[in-house]
Amino acid sequence: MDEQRKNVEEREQDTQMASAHMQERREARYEVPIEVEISGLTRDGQVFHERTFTRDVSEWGCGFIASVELKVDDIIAVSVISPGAEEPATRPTSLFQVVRVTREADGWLVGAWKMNREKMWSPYLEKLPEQAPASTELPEEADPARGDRLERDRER
Amino acid sequence: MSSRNITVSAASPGEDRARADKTQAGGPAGVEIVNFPQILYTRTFGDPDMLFIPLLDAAREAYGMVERLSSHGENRANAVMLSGMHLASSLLRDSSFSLVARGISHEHSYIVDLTAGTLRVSTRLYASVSRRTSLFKVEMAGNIAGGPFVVRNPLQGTVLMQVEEEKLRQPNFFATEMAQECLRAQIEKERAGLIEESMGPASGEVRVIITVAGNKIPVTLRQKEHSGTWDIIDGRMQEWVGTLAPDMEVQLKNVTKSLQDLFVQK
Repeated sequence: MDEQRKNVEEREQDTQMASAHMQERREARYEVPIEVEISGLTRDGQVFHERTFTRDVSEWGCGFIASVELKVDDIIAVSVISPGAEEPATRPTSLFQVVRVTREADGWLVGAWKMNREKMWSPYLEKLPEQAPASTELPEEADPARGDRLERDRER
Repeated sequence: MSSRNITVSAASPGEDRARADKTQAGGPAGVEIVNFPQILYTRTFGDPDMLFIPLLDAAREAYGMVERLSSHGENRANAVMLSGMHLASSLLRDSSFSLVARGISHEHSYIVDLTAGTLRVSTRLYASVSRRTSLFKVEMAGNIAGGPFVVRNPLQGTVLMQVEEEKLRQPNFFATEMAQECLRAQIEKERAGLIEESMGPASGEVRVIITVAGNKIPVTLRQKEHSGTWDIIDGRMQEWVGTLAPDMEVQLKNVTKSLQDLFVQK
């Protein structure tokens, strides 16, 4: 019964996070390079599939460099290319909404927000030393010893 | 292939005046793209007179994209997903749209199914017909590629009308002509249902118009299958008002018999 309640609560929390307003999106980000494939359609209707590495990830978001120019509010598919899941059909894939795009020397730095509750980065985040508590807020006094933790993810 | 922005904003060029007038009163709506994790929500442009046609056009473009991508070797499921993403992005480009969680009911709801190639709408219409005013729910469904849309009463599943796309493109069609037509059809169905319920199986029917105090009143005499008795129905409201007296039945049988003989001879 407790387990059931916990699941329901988790689901409600996930639902809120999935559609959270941009200003409510605050969570810990980690600099973890994960190989991903981003797919979508350009504004002129051309399909793109591009392999890249995440620059940072959080439970609900990710940042990466893309060579294709994306725009805010574009919807893209992001799949993790992990060992043993090289085939597209076996890769964990989620849809993301692009929430920030900035020009960089080697492409476009894209910040994207996940649309569903699949925990894509869990295997990577679990391997990090000192896993952060499951919270959407960082403690006021972040541990400066943890170099992998970035500032609050405000409007990714 | 070039892709245009899908804009449902009433202020956009080319929108007709009637749509523009409803900017503040469009009402909220949810647009579901089948297999998409979230719903596209608009607070102000949900009214079908404002949203249906732009959404149909956008869905048609996305559906065309499914075919194009499939023909270029993209697997069908992937093509559907990519086209759905494109449709969602197009709608989000209009600032009145945002993403919300599933599971919330909306005043107007739209379902785009790019796999089946269908667009479904669930909405409320308001109409006034023959001194009856009603706010009622209807569902409309049709193929994205083209063809007529079928409007149903969602409670009974009965078809109220079938509409060509050309008509749906007329300004305020949902709020005026469709609402009136649906209510009229609903009243007709209710009347027919009332008669069937109250009369049971009938074997004969005679319709006459009588004048009472200067008013013409349609009257139906209907014979019951099992008992053979004749019910008297007020044709104005389709109400049962009595049963024909036995001596009147004899006279009615004589009239019927003479008519039968006449037609046999003819």
